[in-house]
Amino acid sequence: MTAGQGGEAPTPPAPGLSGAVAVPGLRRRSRLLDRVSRHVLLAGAGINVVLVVLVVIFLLSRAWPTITDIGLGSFFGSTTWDPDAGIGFGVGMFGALAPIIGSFAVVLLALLIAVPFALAVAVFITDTNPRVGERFIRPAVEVFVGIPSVVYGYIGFIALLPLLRNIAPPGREGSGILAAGIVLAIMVIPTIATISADGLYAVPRALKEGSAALGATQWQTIRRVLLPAARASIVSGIVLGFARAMGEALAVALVIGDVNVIPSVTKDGLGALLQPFTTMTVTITDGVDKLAINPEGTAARYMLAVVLLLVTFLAIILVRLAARGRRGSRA
Amino acid sequence: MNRRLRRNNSIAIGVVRGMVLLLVALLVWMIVLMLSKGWSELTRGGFYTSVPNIGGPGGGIGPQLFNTIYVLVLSMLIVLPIGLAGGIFFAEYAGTGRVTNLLRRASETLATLPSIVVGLFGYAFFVQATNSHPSRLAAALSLTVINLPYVVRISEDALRALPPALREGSLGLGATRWQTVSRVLVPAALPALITGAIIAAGRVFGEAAAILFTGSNFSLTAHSNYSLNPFDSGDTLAVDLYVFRIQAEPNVVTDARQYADGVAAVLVLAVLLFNVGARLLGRAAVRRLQRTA
Repeated sequence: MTAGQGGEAPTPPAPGLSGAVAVPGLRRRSRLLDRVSRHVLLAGAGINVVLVVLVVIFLLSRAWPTITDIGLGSFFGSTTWDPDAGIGFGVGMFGALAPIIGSFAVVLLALLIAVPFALAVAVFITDTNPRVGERFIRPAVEVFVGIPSVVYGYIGFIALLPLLRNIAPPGREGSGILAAGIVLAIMVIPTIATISADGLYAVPRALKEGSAALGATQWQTIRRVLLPAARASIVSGIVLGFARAMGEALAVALVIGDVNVIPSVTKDGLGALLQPFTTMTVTITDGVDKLAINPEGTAARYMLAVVLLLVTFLAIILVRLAARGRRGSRA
Repeated sequence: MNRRLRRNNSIAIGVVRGMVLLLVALLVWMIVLMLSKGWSELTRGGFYTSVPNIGGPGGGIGPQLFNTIYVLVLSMLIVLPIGLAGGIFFAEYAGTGRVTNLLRRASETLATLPSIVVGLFGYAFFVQATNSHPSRLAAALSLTVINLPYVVRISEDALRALPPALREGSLGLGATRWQTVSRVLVPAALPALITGAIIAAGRVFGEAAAILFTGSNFSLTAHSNYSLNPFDSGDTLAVDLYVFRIQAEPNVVTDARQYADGVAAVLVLAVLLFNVGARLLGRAAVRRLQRTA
């Protein structure tokens, strides 16, 4: 302990300081060190930019054959994904409409389930039970965040699928949009809840007290004052939750069934949610052992990654707009 | 009217509390389920050291555990210095100009990238562009891409949380900025930095999608036996939780389940340990700071 305290704040600078003041040579050296270190630190921050540029360049260049060989029209317009269709006349069919629809369907369902729960958690922590919330719920939420996504998928695989098998059409495994939506919902609840809670904390006390003084019940205050006042944060949370759900791969891959056929809502109704399906991330994951042997399929998968990248960029822009709206409304 | 309002109020608040309770119950149930399924594995001698034996008795997670720790250490060795440098820059040097803005946006973008996208990038950049094959090094570098923005942020937050008097005092005594950072601020922020590093390590431990593309060999049983070569490939624990499903033939899935149960239990246990560890360290650090203050 005492040895550790030697590393604490006040003592260490002393030798360097006395040196800097008394000896000119040392002073020059520390100045030089100061200048060099500034650039090294800048490099540490700058590497972020380099990486983003590299990611964009490499994804685009690998996805390029999708434009030249497959064609964007058939990529975004066709539902046929069949590498063998090309036998005899060159390139296989790589229509990505099914995985794109799958991604949006799964994420939409996940958000429908997650948002009410996330808001409940946020309200619980910040308003109805702040002490229990701070003591137990916040740590619990952190554990939720810490559980690896592939473990969520595994839990879905061994616990949720057998459950859904009971209500699925005969012969089905229970995998599909519903299973993936539930698993993703559990995964994004913490994201939406913590960001919404931050927003609720930031609501000025006066608003809440004013509402109570006017005779509003606690629930009326929550619904008509607190939640609307924290709207910008809640939107940010939902958008980030959307991005996270959109990008999740393995957890979804374990429970969705990985079948590139759009379930028919007209034929099966709600049963379509229990048909095996696919998403963009699952289609990418599915190709992991075919990267080298199937160049067009790999290009198409890189194009799916580009689509995911665009969705991510869009999400960041939306969050920024929401943040600007928040500043605007406060001013 | 008033009575109806009051009734609605208590119903609504009751629903909120019920939903939170449901979630907590779900969390506890998931953890108990995973631990109980894998309990016989977790407590079995040799589970942590022997090689997997799918479909037969015994067997363990030895090579995968070794590989996971290897990749974790390697990627932390790369990401911690770079991330700390970035965090120090943002906290102590960055202004509010356009360059800073660009750097921050890049960091945010990196933080939002799906790990599967990083996996594809890692395959193109760290594997193909270097004429190499999937390896631990490529996996560690891909994990660095995922974790860098996170480490930058925790470092920045840790430095910003320090009392301004520390900084001003040091600068006022004539220390250069670098002296202030290296001898005053970083040592003072060390407890928070360690906590953050543990959480970052926990993220690496459970990451699978990026490693799947850059370092995996898609096999539960093929592995580099405890070699220290960074250019060897191998599955980590988290990766195998996916691989067991695609690699194992349908009739073997049941056998692979026992292995997967054990792996899942180890991962959940690790999360709890990382979480508790970070929390305890954070608390101890606060106590120590209070004592010295």
